[in-house]
Amino acid sequence: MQRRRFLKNLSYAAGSTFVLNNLPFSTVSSAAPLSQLAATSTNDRVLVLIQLHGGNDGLNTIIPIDQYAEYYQLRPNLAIPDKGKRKYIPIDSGLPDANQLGFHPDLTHMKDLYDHGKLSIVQNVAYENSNGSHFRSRDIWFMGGDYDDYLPSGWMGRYLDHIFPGYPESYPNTTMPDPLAIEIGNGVSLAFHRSNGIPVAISIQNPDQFYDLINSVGGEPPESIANTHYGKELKWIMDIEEKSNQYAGRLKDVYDSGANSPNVTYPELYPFNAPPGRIRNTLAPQLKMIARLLSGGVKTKIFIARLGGFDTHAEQVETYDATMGTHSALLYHISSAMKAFQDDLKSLGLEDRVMTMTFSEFGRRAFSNGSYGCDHGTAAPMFVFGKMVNPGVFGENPDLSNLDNGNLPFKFDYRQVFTSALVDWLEADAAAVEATLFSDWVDRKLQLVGNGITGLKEEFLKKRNFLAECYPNPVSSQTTFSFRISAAGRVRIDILDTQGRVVKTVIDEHREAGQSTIPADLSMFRQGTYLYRLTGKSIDVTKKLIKL
Amino acid sequence: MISEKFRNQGLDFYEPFDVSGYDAYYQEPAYNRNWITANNLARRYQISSDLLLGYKDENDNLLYRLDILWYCQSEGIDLNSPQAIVTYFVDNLFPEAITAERFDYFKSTLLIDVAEADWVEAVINVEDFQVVFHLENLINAMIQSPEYQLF
Repeated sequence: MQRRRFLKNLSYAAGSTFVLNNLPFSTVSSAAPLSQLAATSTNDRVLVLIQLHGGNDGLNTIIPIDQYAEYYQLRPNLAIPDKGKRKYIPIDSGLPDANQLGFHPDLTHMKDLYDHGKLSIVQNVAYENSNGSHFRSRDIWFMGGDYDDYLPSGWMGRYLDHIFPGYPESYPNTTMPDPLAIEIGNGVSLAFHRSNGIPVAISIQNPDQFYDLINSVGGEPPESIANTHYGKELKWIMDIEEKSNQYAGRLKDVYDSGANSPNVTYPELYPFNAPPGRIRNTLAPQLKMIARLLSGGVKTKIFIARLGGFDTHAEQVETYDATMGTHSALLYHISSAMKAFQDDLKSLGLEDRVMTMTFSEFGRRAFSNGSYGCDHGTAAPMFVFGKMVNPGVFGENPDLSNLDNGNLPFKFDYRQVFTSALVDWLEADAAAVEATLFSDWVDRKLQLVGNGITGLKEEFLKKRNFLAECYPNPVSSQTTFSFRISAAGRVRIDILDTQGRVVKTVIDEHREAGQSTIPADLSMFRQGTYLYRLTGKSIDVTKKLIKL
Repeated sequence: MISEKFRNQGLDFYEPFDVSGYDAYYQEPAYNRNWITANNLARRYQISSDLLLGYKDENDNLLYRLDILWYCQSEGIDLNSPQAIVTYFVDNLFPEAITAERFDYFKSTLLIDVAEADWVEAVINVEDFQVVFHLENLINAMIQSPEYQLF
């Protein structure tokens, strides 16, 4: 049988019309003139969105420590304990007391990213009159509108449509050889739809499989299309086929020439107890594929990865242990996959180019239900990852004694977050922001990106991890070492001679996050110059002392 | 196995992705188009081909296959006429009329490398498997066409 193709390249005279059976036909338009082309993406930055499908329970993701009693009372069968081995992980001793937060115990990797200034947390994100329907709320997040808007396009679609004019006819081309956006999976969500024509994204699960699939099916396309409703639908399908055909080979090439870092292992399984269907980490392979495509040189601007299972009406936790189960496994998957992704990007030299955000259609009710779950709510936190983020926590803890009809009151509109991604990260200009319909949000956007503001991250890290000058210094006999660490763990202070030999270990022990003061007796030391070095999970600093 | 194939096309029967049902059918006015993605389309093409040409399990046992010759005979299609064969399937597989050029294209997928004038002698009067081969090539081309997806 002859080799078939999904769709052969189209090359017809543009615009001519003829009549057949009294139906006006127009030929399929040929490639638009290249003069239309003005690929205005001025940078090589990439935005990765992780959709937490189903509505993530923010209150069990980050726990408001200052209101632990209220928290426990609202959800005794779900509450993450404040004691024991699996208690919440205090995030940041540098936050004000009223905003002290704890990570779910399975978010250790995210704690590590936070401590290295690669994570910012945005509290209580939603929109006015939050809609409790999964699909409607998802549409709202994707379309970038208000609760009562019904736009046929998505905000990412409008943005990419603006910066890559002439899609789809003029693409791929030499400046933009890749899909403008890639959604991992089978579907293309509203986010990437444009006002007219096919969406700007294509959906793939794996570039090699996609290539094989596309090349194993299809035939010759029709050469002319009726100017009718039927003809328009036909053109829609043909445009999608054509783009798929054009991109399949290129994506395979890019994927095959790219590689993940050999030093990074992506997580596969949740190491604790959860229902069998939740044990496997399905986010990690998606992020791994994105990293590999990027290392192969893909120029795609926006990716959407997805993790499902957050609709935890029942059995969110194991009945015998609220720190394990469905939700815990999902959080572990995000946390461990994101750590591997960041490490991979760093190792591949791509860390400066990628910012990742999580979002979910809504959060969940503050109180739990009798099925060890909780129902649809409103506000929830968003997480923004990357070397270039402005690290820390945006917003305050929700006031659990002042709920809005059982829900967490929302503080930030989701567009305040997305507008920062658009303007500060993707560096959209005013015209692009207007085309995205986000102009009204520019003044209210959060400052989620730290690049361009030098020292922001250093300041964040310094405030949370520092070794003070020992006092007194010069030292006659006694001195005191003071330090602050943001991550609990093994901490060591060594005193070294100028050759770097350890002459005394002052401490080598586990320390909780926060401030520590350690007195030391140096009376036996010879006169001269010494170094003292503090090493811990989130710090490695050396300073000088003089012994009199 | 069949349900797996449907799942790949975005139709996970009885197990939609979540309580909102299948993703395709909400955001108007594009609700009828949102399901159409490269993956879903390609999988649809693939299953059409699988259903027609047969599908084997891991032990190489044929699970199903359309008996195209039996079908044509039972429908009373004049197999001696390539024109009649293509006309029958165009009328029955496509929602709207197609152009003469398009008709000729599908006829060429039936004839493959046989001249229309030689059809009876070179195909029909030979072995049944020859006829089946040509018929399957036509049907395969038709059900893997964009027109068929709108049926």
